[in-house]
Amino acid sequence: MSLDLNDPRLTAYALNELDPREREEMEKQIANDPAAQELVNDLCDTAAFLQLELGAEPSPELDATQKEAIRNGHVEVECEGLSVGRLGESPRRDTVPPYSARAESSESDAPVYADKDKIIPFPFVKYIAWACSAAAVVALFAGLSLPAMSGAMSKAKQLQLAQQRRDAESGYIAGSPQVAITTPSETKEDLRYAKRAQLEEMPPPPSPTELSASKSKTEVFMADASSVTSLNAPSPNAPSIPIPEVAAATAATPAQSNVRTESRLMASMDKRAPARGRIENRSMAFPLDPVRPSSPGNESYSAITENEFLTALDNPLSTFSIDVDTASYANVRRFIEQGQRPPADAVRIEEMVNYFPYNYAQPEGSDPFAANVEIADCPWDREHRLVRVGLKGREIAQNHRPASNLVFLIDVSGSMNEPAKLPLVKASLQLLVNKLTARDRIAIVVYAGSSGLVLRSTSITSANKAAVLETLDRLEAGGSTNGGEGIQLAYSVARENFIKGGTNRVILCTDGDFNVGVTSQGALVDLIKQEAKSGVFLSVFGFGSGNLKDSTMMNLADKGNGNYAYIDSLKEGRKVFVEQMSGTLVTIAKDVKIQIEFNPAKVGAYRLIGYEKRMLAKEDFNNDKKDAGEIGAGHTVTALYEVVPAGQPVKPAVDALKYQANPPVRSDVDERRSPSSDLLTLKIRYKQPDGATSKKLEFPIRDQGAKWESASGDFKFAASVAAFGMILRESQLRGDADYGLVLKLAREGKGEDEEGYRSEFIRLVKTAAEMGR
Amino acid sequence: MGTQDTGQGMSAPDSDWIHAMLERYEKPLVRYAAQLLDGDIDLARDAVQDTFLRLCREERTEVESRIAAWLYTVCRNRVFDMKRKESRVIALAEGESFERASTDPTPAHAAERRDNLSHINAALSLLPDNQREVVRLKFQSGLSYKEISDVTKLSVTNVGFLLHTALKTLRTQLKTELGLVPATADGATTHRRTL
Repeated sequence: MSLDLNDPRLTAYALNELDPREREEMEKQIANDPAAQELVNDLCDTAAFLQLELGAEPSPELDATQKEAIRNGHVEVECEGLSVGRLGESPRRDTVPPYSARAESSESDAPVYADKDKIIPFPFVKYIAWACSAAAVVALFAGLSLPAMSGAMSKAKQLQLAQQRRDAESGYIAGSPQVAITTPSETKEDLRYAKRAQLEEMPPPPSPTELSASKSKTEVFMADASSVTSLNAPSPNAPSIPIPEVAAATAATPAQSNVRTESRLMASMDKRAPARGRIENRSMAFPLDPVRPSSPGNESYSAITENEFLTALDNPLSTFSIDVDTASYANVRRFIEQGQRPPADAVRIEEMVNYFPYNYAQPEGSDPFAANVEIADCPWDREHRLVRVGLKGREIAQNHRPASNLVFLIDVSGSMNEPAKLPLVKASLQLLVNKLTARDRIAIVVYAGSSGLVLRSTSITSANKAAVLETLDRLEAGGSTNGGEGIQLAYSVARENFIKGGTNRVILCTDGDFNVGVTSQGALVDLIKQEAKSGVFLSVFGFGSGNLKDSTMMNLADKGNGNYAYIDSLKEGRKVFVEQMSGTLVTIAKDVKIQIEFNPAKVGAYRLIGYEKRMLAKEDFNNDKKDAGEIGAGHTVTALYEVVPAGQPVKPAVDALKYQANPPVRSDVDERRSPSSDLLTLKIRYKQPDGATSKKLEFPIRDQGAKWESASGDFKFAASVAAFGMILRESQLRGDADYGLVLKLAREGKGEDEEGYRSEFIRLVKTAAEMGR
Repeated sequence: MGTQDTGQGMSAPDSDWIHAMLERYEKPLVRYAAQLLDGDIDLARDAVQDTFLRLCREERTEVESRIAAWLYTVCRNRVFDMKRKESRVIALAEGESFERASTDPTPAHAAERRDNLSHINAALSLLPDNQREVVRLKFQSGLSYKEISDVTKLSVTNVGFLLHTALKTLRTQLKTELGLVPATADGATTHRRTL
């Protein structure tokens, strides 16, 4: 039984417009129907894309006089009410509380709207209302009898008065923030979320291993229960309007009554940003930096010193940790697309090479990954050889993926308020949520000036899915950053919902302004390491530009046994969270280290291209205490060595030693040193994701003397990316590599390129080449 | 709805509410009206001003529970009135007029974003009017099926049908931008090579 792809319920399903019963039924049908499944996935993606892009389309606004006209309509109405009040010889309505009083009230946990009764003392209002009620009722009838347009204003006034009276009678409050700001259809939901967030159980007492700072964390969290709710409050599609603009617009209104205008402005500001106001006030209690302005000059990268050639006699062992991060490529792409040359230290060649999936052979035995080695001429120096070491992690089919317990830790600080940041975070995570099933759990923690749980850990059943998506949709940016608090809360939520044998992971989404607040960076790293040991891993996703703290983020993910990726578009979000979801979520081996022993009989010198930040001492290889990189399901890891064959001059040449015997050079290579004709031996150590002791694999490799022309497409492409990286880094070791070579290799190695990543690379190289001219 | 009998407060002057609604809906409404008016921002502004002036005259309790649908309906009717009465619809080039009216700071990704947007707009322009409108109401204004049905006077079923048809078309036309490819099931490798 297969679904008709023209069935509009497929779209309704993708857009969460079905009621729970229909939804469940649909889910069952779709599960057995790959064509429908594919269509629904595409529809979800298309919808997310449209929502993101159309939502960010610039919108014109009314001009000042028009806004004024609308506002004036109201001021008149109110003045009418006022004058009636004055007739009644009551106190004037200008009892605006002093600013400090207002600030205090917005700090308190009382609803922000409560300070209305400070602007208009309650008994007085009641009095006005009663005093004018009779007149209002008469006027109301008169108004109704007039033609709709002509009597407009007076009718408005009358209705207004009538309304005031009714409201006064019922003691009606103008509306809690949820009621006022959200569209009505969501109001019920809002209240439900609000309740839920308020009723949220506190995290259990921290484990003894946790830092002492956790006590203050719990207190902050409790005190903030209500501001967590208010983060939820603004409705999903409302772009929040920056304060300065509103202030200016209101200032343009002629001062009918100065006091009134001011009080209205204050009231509307309080209401518009209850969460922001609070968070900022609260954050004063912490030694925080103010929200940093976002400028390209504020990004930080740690320096990279390129690996040099080492002689095989002096340094036969080359040891490094694998790395599946891909952030550098996406970041480099962003720079180039903006017409800028990336800073050399932002170019990490291994991350660029590893951005692309390669079709390496799958493991066959019980090991979680397979090693593939290929050797050919080095394209940028034909005298040298290029060695490619490729690891391929075992694929895990979607339905065999272990259950996931994910905690999204989302930066909602002011700097995230850009189209390529928070809206992109939401859209990307929604793609991920759409892929999850009832076995999986999600919680959402946000952090800004303070942190809070927005969604407690919820299993992604079909009934819950819509609510989770909506909660994500509702997040809004505002406030300054305090990452330390949020991460502790996120870990405690992850620990509470720990799934044994499953994926337990905190997913941090930030633009990198990761202000550690009360905790020092060192303590934070300790916390992350500790948690990684207990089985909760951390993945870091960087968004946006201008503020990227690349090195911090890479460091955190590294210590947390997780990966670090940079997401600059929905397409990238799709790659990380949908296409490579298993790799992102499921770690199949940890602390994966590679050690290569070069045979000096065959190898004069070698250099590892990239991986500068991942180098290990040779002793570290057998030291299980030494942390290294993780590999996810289906991940490929590629490392390239440029090898100078024995007998060839090594550039740059080193002067002969004066005080000891010089190693044999050039033609006098001592064949007797090793009877082996191996070029090298590849050794790999890894641990099972929950294991403590490592296992070693060993592969002797011989050079068959292959020519570059016969190299595989994957090899050519990887070499192309590495050459591109060397050019961007202005490496002294790039040999003959130029843009022409990069393009030639990339074109030859492009292959089927189902996902289009390689074609995109080719376009990027062309852009860079044009910039270089 | 929304009524809480706390006995200590009363209705704030509705101007606060009007302001909140203005802040929330002003820009999306102008954008929506402009689209219906082939990009004429000035006419669109007039329509939206009229809409809010009408809101001032409504009883809040009457419209509050369906405010989005109410505003879009009124605005839409106003636009169609205008179109009928004033046959002089001077169409500005859409891109140009929107550019001018934009107050958003140019983010780093403006170029790519504009690129995506212009592709979307190109694809949208190929859709029949009714499909284009429901797509905008759904994805740009965030209305639900029910709200769209209220605004356009189409049945909910019809809205669902239009959206489904439109999304399927857009999915094909925006393939490149979306990065959509023939699905490789998570994990399935097609091509294997041994060394």
